[in-house]
Amino acid sequence: MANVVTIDDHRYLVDVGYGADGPTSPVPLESNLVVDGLPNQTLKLEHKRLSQHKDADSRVWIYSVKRDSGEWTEIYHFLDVEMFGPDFDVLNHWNMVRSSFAQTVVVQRFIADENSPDRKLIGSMLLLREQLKLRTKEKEEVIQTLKTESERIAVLHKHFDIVLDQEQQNAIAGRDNELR
Amino acid sequence: MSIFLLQRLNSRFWTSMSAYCAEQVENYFQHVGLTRSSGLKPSFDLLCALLRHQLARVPFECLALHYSTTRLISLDAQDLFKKVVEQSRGGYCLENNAFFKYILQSIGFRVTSVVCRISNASRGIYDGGWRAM
Repeated sequence: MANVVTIDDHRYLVDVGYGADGPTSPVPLESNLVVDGLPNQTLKLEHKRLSQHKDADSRVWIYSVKRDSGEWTEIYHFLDVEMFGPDFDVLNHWNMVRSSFAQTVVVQRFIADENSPDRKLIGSMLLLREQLKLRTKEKEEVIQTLKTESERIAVLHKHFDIVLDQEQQNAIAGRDNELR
Repeated sequence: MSIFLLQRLNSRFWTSMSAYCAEQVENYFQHVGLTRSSGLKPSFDLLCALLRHQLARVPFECLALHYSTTRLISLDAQDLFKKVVEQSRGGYCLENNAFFKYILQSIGFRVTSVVCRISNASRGIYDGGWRAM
């Protein structure tokens, strides 16, 4: 799911739910117009037909990201059709029972430059299973490799402001994703 | 899963144009570190500021599928507000984008929601394929 926001007849992709490669600026729905994302990163949307489309008139908006002078990577595409609550309820149900999120502990947030007056975003903190990583334009480094649930709970609090109560902490016990 | 629980989870407030009252919007502004919200009108600059502050303060997370006895996720507007603002949590893409849509609409922005497919390329598999999430 993503959102399209219209301001003065201009439409923009606005997505706060993708994670580390998500758009940190609104991206205009203008095919091949390039905008800045994080430092040394550019973003664009393209209005294109996919190789999978049997209908020659089908088009989607493809969101792509480029870092430094590297290649463009297609991250996701969306259909330019307004969807309603019941459509997302179906996806939500599938996510709860089938998706990779149901199998993997993932937490991510962007990091703002505290010294910039408009709090420019400059990187990400990412917890993937037992690894805590910091990603900036210069590097991606593993800050910590967690060995126990206590360590992971502490990291959730320290780096993501997430405080889990005892019942929540205990709920992972015995599951494959438990750190032990 | 009981039918009553399923009904509770289904988003009954999707059609509401202003899911959150002024006090809730103000609480959200404080939560993400923005100055007061009253009197603000939709604009591109405000949208950019909201986006930056939201992304830095509200994490992407799927902990509700791991550190939870129910492992159920609600897209209801008030449930999302409690989770994000009052409980200082985040959510996965549907939760965070649904929540942000309610915030934007409550300020007066014109927002529609779209469905996405994720590229296999984003996971390093360059086969031209796409998946639901």
